[in-house]
Amino acid sequence: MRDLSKYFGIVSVIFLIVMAISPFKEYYRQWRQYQREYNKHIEDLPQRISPVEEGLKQIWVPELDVIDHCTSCHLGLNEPALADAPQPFTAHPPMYHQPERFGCTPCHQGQGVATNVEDSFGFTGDWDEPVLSAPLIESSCGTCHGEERVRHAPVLNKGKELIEKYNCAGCHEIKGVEKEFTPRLDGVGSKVSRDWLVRWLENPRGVSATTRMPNFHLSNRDAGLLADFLLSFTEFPTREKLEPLPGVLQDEIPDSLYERGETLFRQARCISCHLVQGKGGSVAPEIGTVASKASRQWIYNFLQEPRSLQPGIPMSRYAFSSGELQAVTAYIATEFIDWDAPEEADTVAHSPDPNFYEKGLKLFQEYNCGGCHALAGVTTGEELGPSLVNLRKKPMYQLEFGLKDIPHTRERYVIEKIKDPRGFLSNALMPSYQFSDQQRLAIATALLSFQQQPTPAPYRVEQANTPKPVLAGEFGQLVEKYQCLTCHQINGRGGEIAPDLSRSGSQLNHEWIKEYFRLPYTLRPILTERMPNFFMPEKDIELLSQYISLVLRDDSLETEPRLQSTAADVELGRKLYFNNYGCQACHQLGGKGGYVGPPLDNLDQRLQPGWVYQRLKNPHRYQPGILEPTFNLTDEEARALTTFLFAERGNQR
Amino acid sequence: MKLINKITAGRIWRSIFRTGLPSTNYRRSLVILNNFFLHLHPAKVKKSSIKFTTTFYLGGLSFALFLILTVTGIFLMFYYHPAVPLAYRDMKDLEFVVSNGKLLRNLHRWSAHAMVVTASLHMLRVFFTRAFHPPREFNWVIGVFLLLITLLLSYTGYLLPWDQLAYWGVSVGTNMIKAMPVVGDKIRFLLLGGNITGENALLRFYVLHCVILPLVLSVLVGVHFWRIRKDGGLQAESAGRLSEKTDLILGEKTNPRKDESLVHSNSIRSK
Amino acid sequence: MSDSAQQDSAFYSRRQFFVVMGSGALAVATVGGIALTGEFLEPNVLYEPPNKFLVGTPDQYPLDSVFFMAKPQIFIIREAAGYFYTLSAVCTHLGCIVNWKPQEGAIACPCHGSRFNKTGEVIAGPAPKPLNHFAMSLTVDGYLQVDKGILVDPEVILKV
Repeated sequence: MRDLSKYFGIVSVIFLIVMAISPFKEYYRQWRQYQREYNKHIEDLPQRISPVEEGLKQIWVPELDVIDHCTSCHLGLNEPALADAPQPFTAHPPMYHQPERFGCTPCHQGQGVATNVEDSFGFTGDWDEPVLSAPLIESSCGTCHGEERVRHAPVLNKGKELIEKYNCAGCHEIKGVEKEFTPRLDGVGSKVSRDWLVRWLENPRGVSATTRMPNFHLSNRDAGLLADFLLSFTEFPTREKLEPLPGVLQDEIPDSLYERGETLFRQARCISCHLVQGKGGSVAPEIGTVASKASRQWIYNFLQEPRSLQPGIPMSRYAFSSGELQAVTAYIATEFIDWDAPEEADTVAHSPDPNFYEKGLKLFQEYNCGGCHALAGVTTGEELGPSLVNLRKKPMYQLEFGLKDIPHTRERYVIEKIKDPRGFLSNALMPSYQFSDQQRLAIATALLSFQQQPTPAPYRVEQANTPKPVLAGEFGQLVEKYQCLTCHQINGRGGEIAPDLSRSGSQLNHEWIKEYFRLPYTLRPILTERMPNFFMPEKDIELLSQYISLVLRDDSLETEPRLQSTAADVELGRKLYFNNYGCQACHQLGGKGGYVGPPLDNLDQRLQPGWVYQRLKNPHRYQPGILEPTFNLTDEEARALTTFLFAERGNQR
Repeated sequence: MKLINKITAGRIWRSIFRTGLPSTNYRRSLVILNNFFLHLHPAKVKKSSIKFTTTFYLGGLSFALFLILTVTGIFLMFYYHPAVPLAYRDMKDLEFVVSNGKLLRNLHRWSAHAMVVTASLHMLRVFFTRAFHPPREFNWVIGVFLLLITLLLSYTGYLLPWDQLAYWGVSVGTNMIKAMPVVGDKIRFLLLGGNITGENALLRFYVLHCVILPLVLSVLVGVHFWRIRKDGGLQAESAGRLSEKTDLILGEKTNPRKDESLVHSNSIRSK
Repeated sequence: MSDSAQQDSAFYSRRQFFVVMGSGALAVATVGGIALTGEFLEPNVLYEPPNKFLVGTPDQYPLDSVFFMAKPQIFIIREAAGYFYTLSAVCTHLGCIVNWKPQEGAIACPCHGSRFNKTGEVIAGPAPKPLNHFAMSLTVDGYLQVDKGILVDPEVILKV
């Protein structure tokens, strides 16, 4: 019994100590210490900031299933005076969402319910979604915002663009991403030579530095087999054969034809879209070496009617006469030769592998070439790569790191996968893309925004789904022929390279439109992409200009200000133009001024006063994000300026 | 002292505690017999049977742990919702938010582990001291059921946090049940309340863990204790050694002859 | 306590020392444990709608209007003069939710017929007290904010 009393005593004391640990831990909880520190910190500041009441802070958003205790320590989020305070008290940079309504973790991820630093940041074994690093933060915008372009999220938008441009959806399941145009391979046997094709398949970038096609690291043998397979497709989707070359193009090309072709090539402004020897646009593929790639006959036929060889290609059909067509072909065929290409192998008749078709087909399907390139009679379009629709929420144990020796986080996985896809598994098939670090980040941002479970309705922002009218009739056919929508937008459809034409009828003078079609000149000399000269026939010009002037109108622009044209108004306008708002800094008028904006000479011939007036009142109404500053002009000022701009032509001409 | 005397002499006190101070052997036994909580206990026990090395207190420890588990478990129930979207969230709440939540949860968890250990060791002790021999063979059977229920309690509690470990632990376990011939499928179906480990399974395990199994365990523990008394106290030591130590803890001043029957308690058959 | 301990109370024997130490520790631990349990039972965070919330911008409310918000159980009232106050929609009698009757210009309780005027004063019925007024403020970015945690006098109004 004596022994036991000793045990009783000791065990009881140990029990007491164990029990006593809990209140101590409770008192010294990390967030309590931060709150005390915060109250001490703000005392020393010159500004008066109300101290925090000690206690656990919680944001609960049942709709999003969010419980966040982040604000227990991040106490200065809404205090501008704490912009430079140490973390966790730093003020939040401009916030687009109230934390009370959205919580923190929907954007930042991490373990919101946790109350200490290590667990809340989530870099612990049992949490799959640690805090997102700053460069990838915009991926969270994409979880709720389904719009094509998300405001304030340039990286995400860029990433989505890249995913579309490089056609990731060709191999991976991705939702809400359209495929950009990729050429069909039917007829490739009538277009390219075997030597070129093998070189291309081995390393596309080695042939054209700007191509979108990735490198599949094919061996010479595989590239040869695949080339033989592809070259067996000599028929085009819409017709069997190419039209024969006219006699003049079959042999040595006369200098006069070449020179005429050079002039036409310039007039047509081909380099608005195509890159030639380092100069030109990036809308269409580089053509600096196209003569070494495609046969002369193919070029001739393609220029004649691009969509008969490549249905759906966004290239305009130029209204060349047959003589002009010959000249341009002659110029392209003699000028754009790849002088660096290795000598054509001494045409020792190539004897293909007896089973080249089967072997080539196997390669074609193994590497899922059909994901991008359609080929008649070959079943394609299977998504071979893993689905990416739920990359944001995919359980960590499902991410296969394989041979890669990198920290096992989702972010690193995605970025590294884009950088070196074959480093993960020895038998991986994904080709390598040569993205810059920034492009990789953008793509990773977009990929990490994909989650299968949609955000609940009140928090989801969908793309405004207004039905976009299809342009029909003759006008529609002409728009298709000249591929206007590659660069211009009409009623929400089309590219963003050139101005929106949806209300150009209210904007531009009818006569000016016609002149512009006959001979387009550049309004903004600093731009690379210029309106090409399509050599339109008068019939087309008449129809297009009539349609634009009659249909593409906006009635709200018809409220023309009463331009009184009084000397007083003109003088007020002049004063406003030169003194008050300094318009000459960007615009040319009478040969003086800057080059940022378009010149304003002869404005009366080009534009309609209603448009100018409204545009001056609010430049961002139709073109959000343009450079022109908003001066918040009064009605009177806007009227005076418009009067001045329309009157000025007489004085300066 | 006067105050204490006044209170203990008062009517209220007397109405609760009928027996006076245990100053005589008779009164000592009355204390035990008249108390609801103590009446399962024998009025007299052998000194040797409360010696540490006789039992290592393993049964008592198991019971104490069961009490701790009951108390902490009831407190945990204040914060726990047996529903799929809430169960794991409540675990996180207990860990991060609720004051002393971690302490209570850990007390519950470690006590549960400890109870399995002590109950198992208790069985071993009983086995090696031949305490399952007649007349105690039925108490051994009850003990086996008690151990089984302890294990079942442990297992049903395993699902409640609703984390990966719990989910797969129960998925695997219930699939083992399925391997039973004829009735296996049915038992699994009834246990899970369906074919998958889901909302119903969580609720059923919760009810088993918090209501049914503890109730059954409490009743069986009562029977177990009562049987110890009816079976003549603990099977402590061999008869030979026992005869040397005839003194009783509560009977030091009593006449040994009066307690003759107790001296030979190990040979008493249940009446 | 045995007799010997009473005689010799100046210092404890070894055994008694341990017993006293153990019992003392146990007693402290018991009291502490009860305290810890009390602390445990008091929730640190609430899964309830917050007391303080935004109710939109002032121009959302037409002049001279009574606007009922079902979830937080309040009336937002904008007087003709252009000031705001927030009235509780919980009857002071037995806690039913009261209704605004525009044609009568009164707030009526459906349960036991209590009636209040627009400022919350009792006109009729068993309600013992006028309806509560909650604190209202305008945030920096121009939103109206109601704090149900703070009761104010009926005279206190928010001028916007």
